[in-house]
Amino acid sequence: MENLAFTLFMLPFLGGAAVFVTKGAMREYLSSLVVFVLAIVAVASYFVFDSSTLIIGFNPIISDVLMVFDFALFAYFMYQGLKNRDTTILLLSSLQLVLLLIFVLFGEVKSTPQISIDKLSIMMYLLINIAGGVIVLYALGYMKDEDTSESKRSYFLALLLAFLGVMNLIVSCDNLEWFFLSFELTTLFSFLLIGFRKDEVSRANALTALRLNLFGGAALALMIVICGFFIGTLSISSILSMQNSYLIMFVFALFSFAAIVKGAQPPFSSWLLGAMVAPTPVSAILHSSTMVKIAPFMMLKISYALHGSFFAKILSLFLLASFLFSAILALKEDSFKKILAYSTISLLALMMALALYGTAAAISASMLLIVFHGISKALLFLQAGILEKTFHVKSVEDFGGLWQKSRTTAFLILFGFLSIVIPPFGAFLAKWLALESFSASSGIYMALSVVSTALGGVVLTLLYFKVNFKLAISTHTMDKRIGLRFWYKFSSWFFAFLLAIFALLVAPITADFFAPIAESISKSSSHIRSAGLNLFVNGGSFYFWEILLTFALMTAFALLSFFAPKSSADISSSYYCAEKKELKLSAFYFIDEAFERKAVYVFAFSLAAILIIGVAL
Amino acid sequence: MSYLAIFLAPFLGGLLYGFERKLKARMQGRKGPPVLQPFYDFFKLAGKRTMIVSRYHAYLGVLHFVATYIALAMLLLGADLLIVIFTHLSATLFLVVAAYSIPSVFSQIGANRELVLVSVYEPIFALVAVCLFLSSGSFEASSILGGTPAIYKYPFLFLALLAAIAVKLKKSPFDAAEAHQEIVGGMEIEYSGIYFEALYTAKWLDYIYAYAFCFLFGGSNYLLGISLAVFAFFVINLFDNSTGRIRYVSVVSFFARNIYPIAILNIIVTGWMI
Repeated sequence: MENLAFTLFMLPFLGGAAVFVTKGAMREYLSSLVVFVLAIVAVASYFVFDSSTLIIGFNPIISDVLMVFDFALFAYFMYQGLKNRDTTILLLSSLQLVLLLIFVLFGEVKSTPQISIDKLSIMMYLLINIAGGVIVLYALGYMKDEDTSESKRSYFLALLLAFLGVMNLIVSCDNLEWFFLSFELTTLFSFLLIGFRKDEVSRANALTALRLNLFGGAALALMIVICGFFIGTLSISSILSMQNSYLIMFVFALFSFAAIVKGAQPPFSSWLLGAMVAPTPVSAILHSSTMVKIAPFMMLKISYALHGSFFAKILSLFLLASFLFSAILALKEDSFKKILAYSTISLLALMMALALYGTAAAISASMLLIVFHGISKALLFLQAGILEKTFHVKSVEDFGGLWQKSRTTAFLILFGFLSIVIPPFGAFLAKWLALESFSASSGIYMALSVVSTALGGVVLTLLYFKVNFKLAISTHTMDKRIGLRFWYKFSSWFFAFLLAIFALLVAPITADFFAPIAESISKSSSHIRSAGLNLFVNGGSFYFWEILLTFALMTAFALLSFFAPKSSADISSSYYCAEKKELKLSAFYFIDEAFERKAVYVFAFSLAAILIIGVAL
Repeated sequence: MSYLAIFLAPFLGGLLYGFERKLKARMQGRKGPPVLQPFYDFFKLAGKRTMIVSRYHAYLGVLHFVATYIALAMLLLGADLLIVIFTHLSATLFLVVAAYSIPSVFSQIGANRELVLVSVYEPIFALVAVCLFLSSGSFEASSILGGTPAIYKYPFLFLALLAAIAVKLKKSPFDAAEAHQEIVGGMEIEYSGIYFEALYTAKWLDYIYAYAFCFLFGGSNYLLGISLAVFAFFVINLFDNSTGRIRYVSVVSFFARNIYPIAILNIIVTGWMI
């Protein structure tokens, strides 16, 4: 197992370095080989892993070496701050430098094992290396369409691969110093990737990402200092098992603050929205398997320690409010990628709220959502990239005619959205479990969480389907079909089939894969069990015949999209009230700027209300 | 028993629809059509020439019917209510995708309105499921029918459900989604002949679906359940007869200002009292 873990940590960096210096077909073979090996190793680690936690300790000297890396990173961030005259970046990175310097010079902490791998890490490995890996394969095709130099293409792919390595590391850290370093590295990588195109907007948005993420880094640096001086350990697991005190609570608050920044929750959401200027594989990888998924992962880490505390309740109500409001704010957008970004922010809030809620069922729901939202979003972002590169379409207003040009792309967009919303897909199941587990709590908290979960879910449904308003229109003009690159087709169908297979096996996967992890996190029973392919939870059930029927519906929908059978009926054109004018369709936006302002006020007000009620109680 | 009910559902739904037309006519002092009129219409429609805009659009109408039927069958077989509700949502979504797939103003407006109205009534159905769970300990329709009646604890949720059903069944004042005088049926406009039949009978199924939720409020007391469903039927038709259509935006604000607050308060207050 240790060897597998080392492979997951090191191979992406080594492979990335090798990809960086190769070109053309060689680069393609090499990256697909690395991705293939990573995926195999991730799957193997699932089968090999048997203990509940695997602890690996390194020689403390390695930690000292890595500390030097930390300082090099700060220096780089400060340089960026100076170069771009961004005082916030400069201040935040020097603050982190000072905090860490204080810690290094005066702190005395017994060295603890740096790596601790548990079932949750294994789940993240599978997501990161399989979903992330396939996105790298997609990027092979995408980079051919990108107007840039050959060496920059290699650089881009190398960055993506190395990012997977950082992600593998961050989900395995038990030592706060190491966690902090990986956290900062994800900030660095997202900064480099977002700024890849080097134009005005890219640079500005990359700096925004850096600036906001440094807030999270600063919170973690402060946490290191507090833990080093007052708590006496840097091991995350021992901090989590400590008696609750105000100091510990404050440390958790810092930790969840860092998570909220990484998870792009308001008011820190602008960095993720800005990330769409980068090449689309960046958005795909940030949204599905890396970066933002750190946020719910961090919440899952502290879930047990915070379980039932007032802080957790307040924070999860805040997140549920964000779930609803981010979905509402997305209604005004017309850029496809931006709509997807808002929807990620919204669903991330739900994942985090579920993790904080802390019952085993809610945690299972959170993890189901992490994984299946990841796959669905990856699929959708790949389509966004294909739209951009092959059809030169960015706005949902320009979706018309797509049905004829590429049935695959059009269908997969609809399928991607349906897979988040309707049974029997994984993301739906997560929302179902969310509603059922929130229902088991009580009082105002229960009422508010159930209502916001139900409402947020349908607002997202409204959003997902209104953007397709002219996607499937077939005009009788003959638009030429456009073929897609091999890697585009491969990666898209890979995700689609993954979703379909897991939809059929959703019961055993939930009961035998997710629920045990959730039980080990929450240290309580989840009441989720499967009998054959039927799924049973506390108070609810999802029988295999239901799964099969809903799956059959989806299959029929898929078949209809590709091979609608001949019909004897006469074809007519649609009713137009005898108008002669040309029909111009436009999307509905439902909300205007005045409404948006109002929504922001209501959001702020409800936050204040949550806080006041919290303090009063 | 439930298999028989599933088999008979379209006929019962059609009868209910026929009876409703009769009832509405009587409320207006008219004699009204015979109770079997929906079936006469059904056969008449079957004989009409079928015109379609695209095959995809036409077949999705059929898929809508199938999905509606599956959702209803799940409900009658005592399935988990949330699964039922979301399967039903998929039926609506298939129709929305169909309506969006044709370049027709009316169809597109209808689809947009339908989506907004779905986001108004769907959460109410979910909240009703939650309340039924709170009073019976289960989300499964079969267990809810063996539990204590939810109506005593959650009367306002029942009222909210009445409003949600009125939206779902496109009853005035909440019938903006099909609005015959303005957008000539909205999503239904381009269906004709046998394909319209699918939509027409799907509506009958929706009658059974909607009033079955009212019945569930009676719990193990079936008589109470039936009375609640009959009461709901009368009230909804009374309002349908006596109110005028409001804009879809007003439907949203009506729900946001009245229906959701009373539903949430009901859950909170009942939670305190127990």
